Amino acid sequence: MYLCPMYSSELVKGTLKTIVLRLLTEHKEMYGYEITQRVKELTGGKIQITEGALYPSLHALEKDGLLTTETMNIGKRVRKYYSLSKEGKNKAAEKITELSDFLNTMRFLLDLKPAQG
Amino acid sequence: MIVITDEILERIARDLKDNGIRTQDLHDNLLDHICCILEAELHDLSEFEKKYPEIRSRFYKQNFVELEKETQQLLIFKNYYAMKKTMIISGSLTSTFFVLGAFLKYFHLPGASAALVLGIVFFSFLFLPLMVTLKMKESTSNRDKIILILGLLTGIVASMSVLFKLMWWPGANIMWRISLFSLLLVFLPAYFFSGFRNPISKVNTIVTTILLLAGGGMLFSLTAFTTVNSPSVAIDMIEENVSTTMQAIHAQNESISKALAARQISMYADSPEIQKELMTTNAILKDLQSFKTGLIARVENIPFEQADVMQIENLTNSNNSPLVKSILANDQELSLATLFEKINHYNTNLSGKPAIQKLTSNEKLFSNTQLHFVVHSLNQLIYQAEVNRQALLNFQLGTLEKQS
Repeated sequence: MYLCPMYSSELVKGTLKTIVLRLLTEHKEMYGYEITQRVKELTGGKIQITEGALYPSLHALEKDGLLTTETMNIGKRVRKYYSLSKEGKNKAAEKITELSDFLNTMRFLLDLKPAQG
Repeated sequence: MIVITDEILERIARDLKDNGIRTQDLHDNLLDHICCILEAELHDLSEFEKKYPEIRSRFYKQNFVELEKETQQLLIFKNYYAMKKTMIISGSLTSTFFVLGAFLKYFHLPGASAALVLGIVFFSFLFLPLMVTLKMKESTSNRDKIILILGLLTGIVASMSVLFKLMWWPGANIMWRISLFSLLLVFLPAYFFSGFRNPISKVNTIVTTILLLAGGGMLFSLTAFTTVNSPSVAIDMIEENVSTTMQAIHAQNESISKALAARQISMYADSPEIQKELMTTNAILKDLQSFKTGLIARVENIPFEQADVMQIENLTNSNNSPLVKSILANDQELSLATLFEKINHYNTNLSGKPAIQKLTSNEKLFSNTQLHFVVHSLNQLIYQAEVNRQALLNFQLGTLEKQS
């Protein structure tokens, strides 16, 4: 459900939660639209999170107790701000380490193969 | 930046609702998100009609409902694993407690009931509901869901009836009949006709239906042929026989006594040994009778005179175990020790004539503290004493016949 103008969805599948957790470690609280915009901005548009993928994941993270929420009324509409819970902070660090380790392994693996060949 | 009007806001909100967004949180998030995009991308509100279809299509492949489904899926999936784990743990506990309970029961060891009760509770209140809930999540048709609920209810009622039966609580039999009725006449037909239509599940359905039908049918026939449904009922039935015979003997004894009295024979004129034995037998009969009446009066909390004529099937406090137990253990007049002392005294003073038997009763019979059992055991003793009395009266009669 990613909209990834540059990468196939298989490549980035499974990293959405890590991206969200990472963004929230830097920003105290963010709302959905802000998250999509920030990702777009940071990656120069290479990765764009679709709204369809973002909200189910945000709900799941909230249900898992990793995110806490605060709502604010903007006129007649409700804006939901997400921030990391204490557990979420630990999980964010864990997830980032895991992904970074995975990327290093991939780099090693992919670099190694041509050398061997 | 443009400002979204309430009218547009309501239109988007309605669009989301109409297209299957039911979760309020998700609805609020999407509404705010769409408004943010509109605010960022629209230069004028008049562009709304043109841009909105394109903006909303960014959210899904076919329809908004995908988001709702995916959210639910993610939320459910999380619980799914926890539920599956709990189901497996509760299933394992059920099996363990059942095996343990059956083992303990077979060898008459303590704790059997506790283990079986725990097994039944885990089975019917954790394992079965979790299994059905998980199956319901996997199934899409409402018909399957209804069948699963029927199966769940049947299973719970059946296992509850076993629990009630084990604990001797009232209502076990009716629940058992309801569960069998529901299994054979409601659940099985529904299950069969639903699965039979589907070519994939056809064979499986037929086999499972036959197994359930055979098992349920056998249980049903066992139930149908069983007339004694509880220990109390069984005791009542035995007691009815005993008391009929006892009354007959008692009536005979009374008529022999009268016959003897009519001949105006002094009670001491005959064999003094028989006379003495007859007197002690009469005394023990009186003791046993008053012990029984006293116990009934105390436990049922009724006057002595009323208890004296009370039949065993009319006892109401038959499950009043603690009271029976405490009376038999501690009461001055109605203690088991006093009773058995009297019985032993009677037995040791018997002359040893073959027709006169010692009163026998196992003290263990009185450790079953249901009033039914205790009164029944007392009646057995009274019965034995009446038989002795009859033998003695007949001796006396025989002696008289010889004399005359």
